[in-house]
Amino acid sequence: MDQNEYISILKSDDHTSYGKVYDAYSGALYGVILRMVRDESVASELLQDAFLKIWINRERYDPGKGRLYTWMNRIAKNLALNYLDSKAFKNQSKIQEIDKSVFTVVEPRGLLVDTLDMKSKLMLLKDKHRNVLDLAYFQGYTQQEISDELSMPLGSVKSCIKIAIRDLRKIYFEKIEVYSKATISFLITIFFM
Amino acid sequence: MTKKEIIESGVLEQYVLGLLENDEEAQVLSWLEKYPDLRDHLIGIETLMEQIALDESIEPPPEARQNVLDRVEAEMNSRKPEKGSNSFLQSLGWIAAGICLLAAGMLWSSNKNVISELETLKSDKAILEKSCAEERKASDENRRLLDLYESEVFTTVALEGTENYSNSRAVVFWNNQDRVAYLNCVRFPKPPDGHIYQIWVDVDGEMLSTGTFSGEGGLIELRHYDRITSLNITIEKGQGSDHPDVSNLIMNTQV
Repeated sequence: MDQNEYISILKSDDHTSYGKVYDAYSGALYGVILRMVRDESVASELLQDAFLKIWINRERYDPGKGRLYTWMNRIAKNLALNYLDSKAFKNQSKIQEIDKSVFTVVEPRGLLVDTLDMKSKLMLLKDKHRNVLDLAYFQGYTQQEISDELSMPLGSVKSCIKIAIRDLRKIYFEKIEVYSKATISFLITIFFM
Repeated sequence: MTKKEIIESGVLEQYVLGLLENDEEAQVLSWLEKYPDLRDHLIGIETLMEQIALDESIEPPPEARQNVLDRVEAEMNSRKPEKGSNSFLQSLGWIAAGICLLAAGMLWSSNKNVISELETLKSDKAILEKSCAEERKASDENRRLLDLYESEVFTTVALEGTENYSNSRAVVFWNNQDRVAYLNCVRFPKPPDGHIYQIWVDVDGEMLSTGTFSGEGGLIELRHYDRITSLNITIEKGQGSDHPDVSNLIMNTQV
C-alpha cells in the first residue's frame, strides 16, 4: 500500500481528508482490536479512540522510524491492552462469570484460530508458528506471556516468530509454490476429516 | 553484532511486532543508523505484517467512521478557539500582570513618598507645637508682666547692672499687701560653671536671700520680706549661699 498520501494528510493537518486514512486502515486495526477484546461494541469504541489518538498525535509520527501502519497499530494495541488491564474489563468478566445466560459471553484471551478465515494465508503456517504469531501480532501478548500460554520456552517463542514471518514472506512473495503445497495439505486434511 | 547476525537473530521481527523492551528498541534504532540498509529489511517485514493485517481485516461497524470524523472535527474546532483564547488570555494575563506590577511599583513609590511626607509633617507639627507652646508661654508671661506693671498693689523696682552686666535687665515686683514678689530677668548670660545667680534683700541691715535663678529669663517667684531697703544680685557657688559674696555683686538698687 502506498502510504505517502495518508502521511501527507496527517502532516498537512487536513482533517477533512482523514476519512481516507480511516478507510485504508480501519479494517486492519479493527481486526486486531476485536481479536484482543472480543467484544464488538468495545472494539468499536476503542477503534474510534485509536483514530482520534492517531490524529491528535500525528506530529509524533516519524516516517524515518517505520511505516505508518506499524505506528498506528501500536497505538491501537496499547489502547486495547489498557482496556484489558482496566477495572471495567475485569468487572465485566466477573459479571459474566456469575451469569453467563444473561450476558454475551466474553471468552478469555487465548488462541483465536477459529476466527481466522480458512482462506487466510496464516492457515498455511504450521500450527505452532501460527499460534505464536496470532498471540503476538493480533492479541498483543508479550513473548513471556506467549511462553506461559503455550508452555513453550522463551527461546522457542522467538524462533517461532522469526520462522512464521519468514514463511509468510515466502507465502506472500513466492505465493504459487507455497500455496500449492498448502492447498494440497489443506485438501488432504479436509478429505480425511 | 554484525548486520547478518542482527537479521538472523529475529530481533527486527520482534521490533515490528512491538515485542521489545524500551532499551532493546533503542538498540534496534541505533543499529538502523549504523547499518542503513537494515532499514530495507525492516521495511520488508513491516510491509509484510501490514499486508497480513489488511488481509485479516474485519469491517468495523459503519457508524464508527462518522463518529471518528465527528470527534476529530470537534477536536479541531475546540482547539482553534482554545489556542486563540489561550493565547489571548495569556496575553491578557501578561498585560494584567504588567499593569499590576506597575501599579504596585507606583503604589510603593507613592506610599514611600506619603510616608516621607507624613514624617516631615509630624516633625513640622512637633516644631509648631513646641513653638506654639513657647509662644503661649511667652504670651502668658507677657500678659502676666503687663498685669504686674499695670497693678496698683505691686511696686516695680528695676535693678541696675554693673559694667559687665549693663545689657542685662532685672525687674522686681513687690507686693506688701499680698506679701508676694516676682523677678523678671532679661538677657542674663549663663553663670560660670558651678555657680548660680542669687537675689538678696536688705532688711534691717541684714542681707537675706529671696531666691536663686539661672538667668534663662521669665518670671521667678521670690520670697517676700517686709521693710526691705535694697535689692542685690550676686553670683554664688553651687545652689546658693547663706551669705552673699559681695565680691560677685552684679546688680543692686535701693528701694
